[in-house]
Parts: sequence; structure tokens; C-alpha cells
Amino acid sequence: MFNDKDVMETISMIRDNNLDIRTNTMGISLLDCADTDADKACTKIYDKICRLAGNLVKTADSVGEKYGIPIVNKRVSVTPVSMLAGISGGDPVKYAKALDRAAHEIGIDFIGGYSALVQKGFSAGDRELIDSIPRALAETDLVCSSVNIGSTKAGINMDAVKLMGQKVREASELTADRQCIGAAKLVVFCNAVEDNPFMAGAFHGVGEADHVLSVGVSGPGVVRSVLAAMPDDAPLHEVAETIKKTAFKITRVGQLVGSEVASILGTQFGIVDLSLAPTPAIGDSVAHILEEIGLEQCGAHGTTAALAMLNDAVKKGGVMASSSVGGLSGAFIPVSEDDGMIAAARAGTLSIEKLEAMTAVCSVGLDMIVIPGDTTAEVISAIIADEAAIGMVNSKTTAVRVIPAIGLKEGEELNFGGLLGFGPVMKLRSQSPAKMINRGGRIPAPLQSLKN
Amino acid sequence: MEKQEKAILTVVGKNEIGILAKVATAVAEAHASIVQVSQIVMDEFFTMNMHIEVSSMNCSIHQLEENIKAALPGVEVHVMHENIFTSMHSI
Repeated sequence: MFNDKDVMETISMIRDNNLDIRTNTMGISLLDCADTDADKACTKIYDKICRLAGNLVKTADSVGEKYGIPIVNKRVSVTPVSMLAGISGGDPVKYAKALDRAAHEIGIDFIGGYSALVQKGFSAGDRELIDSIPRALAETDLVCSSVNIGSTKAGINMDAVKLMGQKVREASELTADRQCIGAAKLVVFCNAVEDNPFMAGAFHGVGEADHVLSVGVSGPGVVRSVLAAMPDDAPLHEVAETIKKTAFKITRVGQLVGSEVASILGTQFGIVDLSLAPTPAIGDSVAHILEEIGLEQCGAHGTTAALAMLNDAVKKGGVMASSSVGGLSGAFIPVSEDDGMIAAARAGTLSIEKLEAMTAVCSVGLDMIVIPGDTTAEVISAIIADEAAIGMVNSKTTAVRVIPAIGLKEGEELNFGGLLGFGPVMKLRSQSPAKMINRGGRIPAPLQSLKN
Repeated sequence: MEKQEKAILTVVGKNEIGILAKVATAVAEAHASIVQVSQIVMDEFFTMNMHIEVSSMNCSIHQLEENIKAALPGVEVHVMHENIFTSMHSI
């Protein structure tokens, strides 16, 4: 039996400190839906998603209610659509619309997998899909898109990087009347993982089972409050130890809820993603954890070191707590989704350069950053290239999800609503990287790739 | 025999006459049975920890919590499934 202290601790984690399950994401393979006729393929996709994930929302809600833990988002990720588009040819946006219809039908929050993997080159369907991304995101509500443009093994496909700079801009332009939401649903990856349950970058890798259920936990509020209870002069190794223990508990809850939802749905349990995912709600911020560790504001000198320690401690605690860990696993630093990051960006403490340094020591990358509306495609490509280089050299996943705020200048703000949050336009450097980006070609794989 | 499922019910608040009785009534009405209770009044504050068996309950755990809250306005009531505590506090 449990002692009263354990009981009260658990209750306060959930009721007072925003411990929740960020997402239950069902990964569904669409390989058996491929058809040379795109319309037939779309019908099969719609049917398969509705058949397998039709009860996802209901089941997740009932398990959430049973345990008194909210499951904030229910999502589906699918096989990268470029593969199906490559087989059928034709306009890939058809697929996006089929995914969107299925997502609306089953009542989920997002569907991911309008994706292409082009780290080493383009194959059939890849270019067509990438070209169609801005339109697909503008013409659907719930579809998310990602493109992998580099890896430690393959190097960086700079032709794809150039293309993605343009597509990010176009995605924003086409949705300029809706807070540029298109670009908020588009992620450019280096070293993308196949079992990530988090949006917008989730897709169902080809190495995965036909359908699996993965879980992403949240919990920055819980970590911050246990740190707040520690004395100010506690040494950092004790702080790390406390974070580790808390991460263990958070992850256990994710494992419990995820495996129960999976078992009711008759699907295999995939992974727990050990990420600390913030929400814009007050008290659910990764930046506030860093400030609790001892920084006046997130973005101050020392932020990278604090974040490195946090990220590592979260993994160490979480890995013991779950039978199957995967996904991105680390601390997320999406600016517009994190109350403390928003405040630091508004105050000018947090700059894009500091964020870039932070991405070298945590998952995932430059995430949900609003940039000036007049930023050129080349500059966006260069941001992607920088971030991909960090991922490639450090054998880790990095990503870029920046939102050019069409018509807005530095200091003004975009508001996406919901979990995507809001954020101020951040300053970029204006010097042109156009010559380098226009060279195209490939950055060869680094020495780190030769591990065999 | 059906697998037993337990929940933990906690009540914290200013002491008044009949808190335990009202909780016990709500638990009985929900068709749950009490396994163990620890309760103390300290400095006018009532705290209680009750383990209940819920596998044959006629409503959800959430609903039971709402029923008790309705019977006892002004005190803090939480009912949570045992599995949460087991997973968090044991390896």
C-alpha cells in the first residue's frame, strides 16, 4: 500500500501542476492502401483510418476519465504520403484532403504524415508532394506535414533545403489571412524519427508495425513545482536527481495510460516519448523550469547548460520507467507554445541565436518561432541548413518550424490559438546567404556516419 | 472471480459533523465497498484516506467524485484509480 505522502504527491501533480498526457498518437501504415488510381487509394486510406482509429478519441477519453488524467490531444500519423503519391501520380493534395476528411470523421486533433524523406535525393512523388505542401496545408484543417532533408548517414540535401525555404514561405503566404497557420503545421527535419507521436512532425515509418499506439507525456509544471520546493542552495547534481525521479513518475503515467488505450483498441503499444512538452497554459513551461534552476529569465547566459542538464535528467528518469522508449525524447522548446519562452522572447532576452545553441543539447530544434514577414526564402533555407548541420554532426534529430508572419514586423505578434499558442516576431540577421543556398547540391555525410 | 480494482479517495477540508458518514453513503450508493480508512482531525482540519473496491461500481470513478463533491461542498475531494499510484510509486 502507499503512504499518505505518496498519495498526496500524485494528486497534487495531476490536479495542481498540469500533469497530463500530451497526446495519444496512433500510427497507421498506409502501404496496403497504395493504388495506381489516386481516388481509389484515397478511399482505402479513409476507410482504413476510420476502421482502426474510429474509437481512438472515445477510448482515450474514457481511460483519461478513469484515471483522472486528461489526454489533451488524440492524433493519427500515417506512412509518408509521398510513397503513395509516387505510385499513383497526379495531384498529391487529394491525399491531404482524404486524410483531413478521415481526421474530421473520427474527431482527432491532428493527422500527420503528409511527408517526404529526401535526405539523399528525390524519388518518384517526392518533388510533387513537396511542391504541393503549401496548398495542402491551406486547403485542409488538421493535416500536418514534414520533410526530412538530412541525416547523419546521408548528409544534407541542399537542393531540398533550398526548396523547403520557399515552401515554408509559401505555406505562410497562402494562409496569411489565418495567422499564417500553414507554416505552423510544417516541419523540416534532419534525422527524423519514425515513431514520433508529436506534431507537426509525426509520420508512421515504414519499419513500424501496421498500426501502433504511442504516447507523448507532458509535465513541465510538475518538474517546476518540485524544483520550487528545493532549497535555493541545493547543488545541481541534487537538482538533476530530483528531475530524474519526477521524470520517472511522469513517464510511468504515460506508460500506464498508453498501454491501456492500446489494449482496448486492440493495437500494439508503440513507445512513450519522454519529452517534456510545454503548453501555453500558465505553469506548464519548460522556460520556467530553467528559471527555477536559477536563471533570471530563459535566454540568459547559462540557459544552454541548464537545459542540457534538464534534458539528460528527463531521459535518465524516463528510460527506467517505460518498457519502450522512443520518439524524440527530450525537452521541447517551442517558443509560441511556452508561456516562459514567449515572455523571454517579448523581453528580448531570448534570441534566435540562443535558441539555436539550445537545440544542440535538447530535442528538437527551432520550433514555433515567428519570424519577420519579409524574410526571404534563402534566409529560411539557411536557418534550416544551420539547424540540420547541428543535427547531422551530433547524430540527433533537429527540426525547423518557423512561421514567416506575412505583413508583420519585429515586435508584432501572431496568435495561432490552442496548443500552438502565440508569439512575437523575432529578429533575424538580414545579410544574404543566397549564394550558398543557390549552389544546391549536397553537404556530404560527416565522418560520424562511418560507424560500421 | 473478477479482478479486484481499487481506487483511493481522499478528503481534506475544515471539519464538520458527518463528513465520513456522507462519504460512506455516497460510496455505498455507487456500489463500491470500503477496504480501508484512515482518518484524523488536526487543528479543525479533517483529512481522510479511503481505499475502496470499485470493480462492481454502478458509475464511473469520476462520477463518484462529483457525487461526493455535491454532498460536501467546501471540502477537497479526489478519487483516483489505484493503478496511477502503483505505477508512480513502485518499480
